[in-house]
Amino acid sequence: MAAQDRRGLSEYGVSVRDDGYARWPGYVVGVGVVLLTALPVFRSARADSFPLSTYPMFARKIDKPYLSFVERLDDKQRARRLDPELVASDEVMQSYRTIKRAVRQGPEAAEDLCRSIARRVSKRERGKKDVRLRIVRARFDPVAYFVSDAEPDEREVIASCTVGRKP
Amino acid sequence: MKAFLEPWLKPSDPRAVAICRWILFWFAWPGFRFGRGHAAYAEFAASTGWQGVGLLGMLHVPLAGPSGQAAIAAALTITAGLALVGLGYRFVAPVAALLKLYIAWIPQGSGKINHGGLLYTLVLVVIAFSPAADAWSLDAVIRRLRGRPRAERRMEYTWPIRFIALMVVTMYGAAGLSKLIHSGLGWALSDNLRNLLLWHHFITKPPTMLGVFLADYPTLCRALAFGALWLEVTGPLALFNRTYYRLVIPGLASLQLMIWVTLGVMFKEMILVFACLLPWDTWLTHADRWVASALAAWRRKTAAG
Repeated sequence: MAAQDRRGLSEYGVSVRDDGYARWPGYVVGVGVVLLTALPVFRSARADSFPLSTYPMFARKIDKPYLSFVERLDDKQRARRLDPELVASDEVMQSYRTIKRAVRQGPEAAEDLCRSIARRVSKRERGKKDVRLRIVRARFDPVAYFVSDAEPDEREVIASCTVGRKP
Repeated sequence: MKAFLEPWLKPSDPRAVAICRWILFWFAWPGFRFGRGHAAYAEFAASTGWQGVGLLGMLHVPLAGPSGQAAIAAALTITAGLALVGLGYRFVAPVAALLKLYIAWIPQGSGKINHGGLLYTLVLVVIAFSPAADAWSLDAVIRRLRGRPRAERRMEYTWPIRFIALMVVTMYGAAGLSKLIHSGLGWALSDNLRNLLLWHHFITKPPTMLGVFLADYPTLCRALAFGALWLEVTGPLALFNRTYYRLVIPGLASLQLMIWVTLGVMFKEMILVFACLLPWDTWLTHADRWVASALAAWRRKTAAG
């Protein structure tokens, strides 16, 4: 402990009180923060929050997942998946969840999202013609996809829109 | 209990916690990288269904528009910059930590929590309320100019780093428990990790094909999944045993690295948190001894010459 003079000042000139009562706030804050961090794990995984999480990441078993994504189609109908920052954010999983949520809310929400993305794509791809966007929901078998290059088990176009023009 | 408490009471070098201050506030300082991703998000969030989450959401903290976010980023640049160099640390560091919490909270309203930032945001608050500017800071220089003594090894400099370790093992322990609650031991003993390794090649761009390679060996995948689950669930025990601590902290850091290498999910903020847990105190002691002996040798040489 730092040497203290008779006024209770430490060698840094800062008043330090060290007894049982002074330590209690420290214990309460310390134990409280740890409990606050750990306890949300017992809540529903869907109640995930920030900065106190329910830790749903990688927690559920994966079989054949449904994935939603945005495809960009050029004038020759070649499809390419869009970069996340054009969808919502440069954080991949947040962009993915944005698409997933729009798909879950229905075609109208998906079309709104499609038009919102189209505006950003239009700014980036000024002058390019006949570019379309498509929001797709598909069910994949991960092992089959990688082993035998299998197509998705199911595939559904939820919304589509045109870049740079009114759809 | 003694094994748990003893490491908290050990004196530490004030420069070790100062290094943590540098590491953590360097990342909080947005001046050099408040980039297009965030700007795109601000534009997007204002026009679509954004919903505040967590405590700030419950308190109805409003979403600032693009210009408001730019102003907050400017305030964060100033306060985090001052905290970084350690000027008026006691006042600016908590402000910077709260501003960073707000800035980090905004994108969470997209419906997906960025788990990489969880621990970092909490750790930043811890370090903001610690005596992390007693060394290698402008506050320390000013104190010296006023004739005050240099900060020396004290146990006050131990708790911040120990608290960060406590937060790390608590959070990983909770994440492990979550896997057991939602999936049971089947999380590790089924084809789950194999599917996970492949699934992420659909939605992210892992930097290597190691995940696809590992997926070819189902038994190895189960062993790795079991090892990861074990490490997470038993992580908190590291605070009661020094040897296990030396195994668990690098183990969790390696787990994080493997998540990036195989799944392409980089919790970049976690790199900083783990960097704070490097044995800076020991390294500084060795460095001091080396410098002292090198200086003594140089003095002897100049005196003889």
